[in-house]
Amino acid sequence: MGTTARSLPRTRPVTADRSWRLRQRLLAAGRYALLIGFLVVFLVPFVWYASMALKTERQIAASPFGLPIPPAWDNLEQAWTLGRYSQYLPNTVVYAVAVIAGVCTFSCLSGYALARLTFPGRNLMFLLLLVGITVPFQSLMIPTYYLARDLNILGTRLGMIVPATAFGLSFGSFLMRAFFRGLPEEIADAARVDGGSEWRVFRDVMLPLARPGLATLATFSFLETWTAFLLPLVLVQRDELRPVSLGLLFFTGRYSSDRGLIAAGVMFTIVPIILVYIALQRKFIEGITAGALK
Amino acid sequence: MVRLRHVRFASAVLVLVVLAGMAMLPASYALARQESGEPVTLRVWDQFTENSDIADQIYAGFTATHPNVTIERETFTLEQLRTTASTALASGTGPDVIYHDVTPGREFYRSGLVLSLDEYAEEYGWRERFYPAGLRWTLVDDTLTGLGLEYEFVGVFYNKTRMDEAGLQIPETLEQTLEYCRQASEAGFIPYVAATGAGWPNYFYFTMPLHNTVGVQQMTDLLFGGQGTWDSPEVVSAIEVFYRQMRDAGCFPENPNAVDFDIGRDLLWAGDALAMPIGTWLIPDVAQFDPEHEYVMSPFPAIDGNPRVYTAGMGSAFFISSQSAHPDVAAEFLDYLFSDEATRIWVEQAQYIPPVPVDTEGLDVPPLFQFALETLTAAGSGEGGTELGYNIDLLVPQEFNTMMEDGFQAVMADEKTPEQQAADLQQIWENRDQ
Amino acid sequence: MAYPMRQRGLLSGITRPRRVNWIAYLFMLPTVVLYSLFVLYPFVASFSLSLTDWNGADSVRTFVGFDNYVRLVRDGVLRTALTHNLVWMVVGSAGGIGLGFLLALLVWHRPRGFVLFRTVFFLPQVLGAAVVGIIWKLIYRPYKGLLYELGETFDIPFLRFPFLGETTTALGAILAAAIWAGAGFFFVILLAGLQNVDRDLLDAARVDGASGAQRLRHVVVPQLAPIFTLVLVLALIGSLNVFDIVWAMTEGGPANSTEVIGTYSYTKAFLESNVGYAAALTMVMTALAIGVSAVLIRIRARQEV
Repeated sequence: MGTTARSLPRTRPVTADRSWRLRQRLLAAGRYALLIGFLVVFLVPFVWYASMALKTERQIAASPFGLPIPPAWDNLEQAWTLGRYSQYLPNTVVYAVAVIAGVCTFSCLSGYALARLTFPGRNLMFLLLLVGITVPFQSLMIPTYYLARDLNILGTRLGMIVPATAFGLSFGSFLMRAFFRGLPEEIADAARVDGGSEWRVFRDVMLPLARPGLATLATFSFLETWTAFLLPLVLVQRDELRPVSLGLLFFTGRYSSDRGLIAAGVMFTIVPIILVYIALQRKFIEGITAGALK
Repeated sequence: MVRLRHVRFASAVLVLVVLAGMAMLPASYALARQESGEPVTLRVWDQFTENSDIADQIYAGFTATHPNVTIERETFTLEQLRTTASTALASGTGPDVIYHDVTPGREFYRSGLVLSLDEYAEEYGWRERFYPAGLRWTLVDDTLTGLGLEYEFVGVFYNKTRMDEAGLQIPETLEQTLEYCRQASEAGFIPYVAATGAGWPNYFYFTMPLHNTVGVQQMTDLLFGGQGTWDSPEVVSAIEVFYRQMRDAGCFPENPNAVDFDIGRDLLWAGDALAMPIGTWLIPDVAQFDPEHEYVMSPFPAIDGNPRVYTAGMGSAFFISSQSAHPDVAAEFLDYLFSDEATRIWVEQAQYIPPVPVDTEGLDVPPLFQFALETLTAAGSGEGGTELGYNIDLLVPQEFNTMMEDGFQAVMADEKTPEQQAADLQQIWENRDQ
Repeated sequence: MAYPMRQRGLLSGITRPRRVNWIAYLFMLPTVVLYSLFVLYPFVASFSLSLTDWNGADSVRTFVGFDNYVRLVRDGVLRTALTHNLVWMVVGSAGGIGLGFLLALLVWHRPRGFVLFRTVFFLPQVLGAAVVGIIWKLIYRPYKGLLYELGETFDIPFLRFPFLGETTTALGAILAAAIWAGAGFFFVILLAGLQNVDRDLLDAARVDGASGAQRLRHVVVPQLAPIFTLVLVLALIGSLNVFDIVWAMTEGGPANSTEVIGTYSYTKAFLESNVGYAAALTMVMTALAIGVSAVLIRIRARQEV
């Protein structure tokens, strides 16, 4: 609320009369009605799925939309043990932190170069980066597997971290390039006039301004790494190095599955992502609106 | 501010370096060839996701008597194995032992990725111990390539309790079936759950009437002897029985293509449906999800007075990688998995039926499972004249299976004629392999 | 307009001449090294696989030239799949970006409950395609599905329709789920972009009497242009390589009615052991995606001048 509230008195037309106010009220009310409508649409399937985590398979089969009464707390306990979360969570944190650090650092650099610096081969590099966004991992999986074998990283943590970082770089560079391009040019020019080197312009002037983009990238990078499934399955292989996304494996049988148990496992997997999302967004968006663009 | 940023940047780099270092620590797993008695690590990839504890227990039974052996076990779902197994094996970084479906397993043998087990079969007497009908799924030109564990068959599950309550009889002929469908739907029940939406159940909806119209002997000739075709009038009429006559008689849910396996099971447990054509792997689910009702299995109804048969198949089998550094240990391991000690656990706890004679003395299992076990034992040992057909999906090329999934959905949706589907299947059959 | 000039031109030679920043190569170095090794090299390797009839297992890979590509031309299933990708491109992109932008605009001025809205709109992203598939299958399913039960309760026969089971509606039903799931992605990016929109300029336009729609069209959208190009390109590419959600919901069925290139190539590679042919399918997908993106970026670059 802060920014808007402070800037409102300055911007509201002096001629504000009663009908204008009424219209604003109606508009605000309409906007809220829409927002709440969407809230319901987005929330209901999720809440319902979460409620499934507290139901037994028989309760689900009998009434999939009924309340979880009595709640099957057992599901959560069983999911935690079966999904080997205490073992897989630390692995996942290592992967996520390493991949985010790599993707964010390298993408900022390359995104800035692609957006703001002039050099021969820039357009070609940009085009080539598109390949990484276009091709799904499964299509490159077989050659990547052989490559990982030859580099001796198959079955190690690096077998997950390095390819995941590389795959994240195309989207990352693409995203950061767009954000750097959206920044006003003359801020950078001013810094250059003041005698700053390109590195200083980047680090001291442009990078802080691109923080919303960076937060977005960190969020998606985290999401991508946390939920990556095929890549760790294929390249990490060993049980003691598996991330949580593979923990769900132990619930899904060949022709049958226990949906309540799976839902409980999914909840354990996604809660950390929601927390990270909230934390990152709050920090960076509030940072940027605190007057950085004034 | 600037100094603070320096610190931040430096610490970010530091974190990165430390993490990279941490990641380096686990050494790669080079497997040196070892003499027997020296420590051996056997890497095993299996599909025991739901029965993970049981597999651990059995594997531990092996390592207890072989203290020099360590088993590194990784679990996959079937779909994940299909995505990774051939690449892993072909690149020489795969497991020593893999528990995979029989069709990919046979392909692996043809590509030289898994070993012929003939020598080990001789050494351990597998050909004598296993039912021949349980080994045929992993044979390539009479070479044994794997040992199947989940021997199973397909028929129709009926909720007998509810049928009795509704005064309905289990139909044995097609005419009775159509009449049963009329009566059951009038009573407000779905007579049969046909879950064509899931794709793979179509294999069985085709296979069951097929064995009836074509006959088991002719199916044997077609599948193993290369005699006969998939576009004969008998094949077309088998398709018509299920996808036309029974559909039009109201035997199925309103739109079977909207019903997948989960929905189908729910309809059965909730009592909306009375019967489901499916394999014996449903038995543990029956005990778990609908223990109050009695279910029975019955073969698909007779068409034109032909004999009714169950069709048998093999879930998955153990194969030994041709790149394994310890094939002898792996073979010993396989032999242990089918020992009396291990089979007892497979049967009693996982409700798998291995294709070997099982000591049923004092076995504590549900009656339906007991029935399945006895049926397969009788058929396997050739006693009592029990004859089983074949789950054809395990004996045809994968393209054929894809055509069964997509094509029969199209037939059900009236977008394709039974004749066209039969012709398409025949075309894939003619183009197989060579 | 008083808004400062920004650097123009994208892929084109219309950038105003500047001296070469050699330091750019240092900036690009880590990305280029990692990316070449783990993306470009496997991509090239994948192309060479597309010239073989390899099954993924044999030790020999027979070179067959462009046979696989010739086969593509006559492949009826591929034609069906391509059509579905095109439908996805139009409906999915418009729906996802449209909804995402609407949501971003609605919370832009930080109404009460901002954090809640922002979190909830993003939730489907967190779930991942597999779970989204599970949930929407349960929404659509006949017998005890959400829509089905609503239709029963309020006697609306339309809602009892087996949307995923009919070949005519299955693709649309998946698209609706995909838009629900994907809007949060565009929402987050567009919202971050909106944070950089010059508020003073917007206020000035309001004082000048510009209506809401006019302010949107002439002040907000132009400032978001690079972000819009980004999300459009991502949406178009996403519509060509879509795989997860379709696989989770229908595996391309019933009767190929939701088959897309991604599911088809997956079936070919990993179910039918036809790695060479699947690689050729991937090449077609990539060529289309890069072509479409390049054209789009060029058009946008022209418009920006």
